[in-house]
Amino acid sequence: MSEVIVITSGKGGVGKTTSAANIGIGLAKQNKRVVMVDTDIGLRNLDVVLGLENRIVYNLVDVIEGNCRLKQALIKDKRYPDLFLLPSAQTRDKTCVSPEQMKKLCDQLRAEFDYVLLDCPAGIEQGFQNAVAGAEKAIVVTTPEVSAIRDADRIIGLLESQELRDIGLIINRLRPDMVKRGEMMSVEDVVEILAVTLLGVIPDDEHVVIATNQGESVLDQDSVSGHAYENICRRLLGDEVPFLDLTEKKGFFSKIFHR
Amino acid sequence: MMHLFKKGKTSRMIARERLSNLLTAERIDCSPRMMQMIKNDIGKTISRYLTVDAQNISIKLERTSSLLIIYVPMKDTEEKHV
Repeated sequence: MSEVIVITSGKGGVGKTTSAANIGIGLAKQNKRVVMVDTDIGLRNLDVVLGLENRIVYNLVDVIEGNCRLKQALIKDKRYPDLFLLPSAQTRDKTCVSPEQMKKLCDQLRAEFDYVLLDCPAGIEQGFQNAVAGAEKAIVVTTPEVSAIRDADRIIGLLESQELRDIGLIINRLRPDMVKRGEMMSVEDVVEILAVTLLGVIPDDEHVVIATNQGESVLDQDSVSGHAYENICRRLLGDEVPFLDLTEKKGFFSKIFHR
Repeated sequence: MMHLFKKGKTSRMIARERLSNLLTAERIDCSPRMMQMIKNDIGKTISRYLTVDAQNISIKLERTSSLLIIYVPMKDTEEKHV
């Protein structure tokens, strides 16, 4: 029953890695055995977002080239006993791994874990092709901006042309106040344009920056974005979870006590 | 406030419109310029028989089907003097 899910976006900087990290942690907190694979060879980042950058010994390329066993390269996150990271190589480039090799690696990981999450590099070149090769499900991350949505549309087209049709959309960095003023596209607008299933909406929330600064997860803070990621994980697990009303104003007391 | 001066369109509406035009064009691998030419030709053709709002013709393509949907709004008869 294990699943291999690729997290992708086309455009860079929309929150792919942050989303991947928080989804991985969220699933691990639900006692699922999760391995996160950073497939961005040459520009690894999932390690630093997860706060595991000082524990890397071997990497993805070492495993594929047979320099070490798979188990030796997996980093166990001490905070979440069910979470593992397979970091990317920093000093190599994308061409040293082929889609076939990635597929083989995913099958190996599938045997050991409930969820294999692949953090995809930006772009549509070989790095994307590698990340997508072994996946059966995709999460596309976008922001409510024209450039990000255009690239997401391209990516969705490419995924579908590779027979990857199980696609969930995450809209990141939504600003409900701007949507209300008519100065930002709404969730409904984006879903209608891209015509894929909505998996979740993450508001533009400073807690995400703060948590990432510390190599921690927003799931461990009392925040709207943490709650939104938690809901995404529950939806991935098959629960029907209503979408958060992000326009909800904070109550009088919480305003006084929170700031 | 700014949007009041741009024909009552908010930046959200402008973004939605631009994207939906662009993505339709990209999905069928046709340039936005060519799409505009299709709209112009359809507007001209139908205008020979009916009073249509040729400025607001829109073309949509569902990703999952190969059906091209062209919306041709009729001009409000009240506004015929325009």
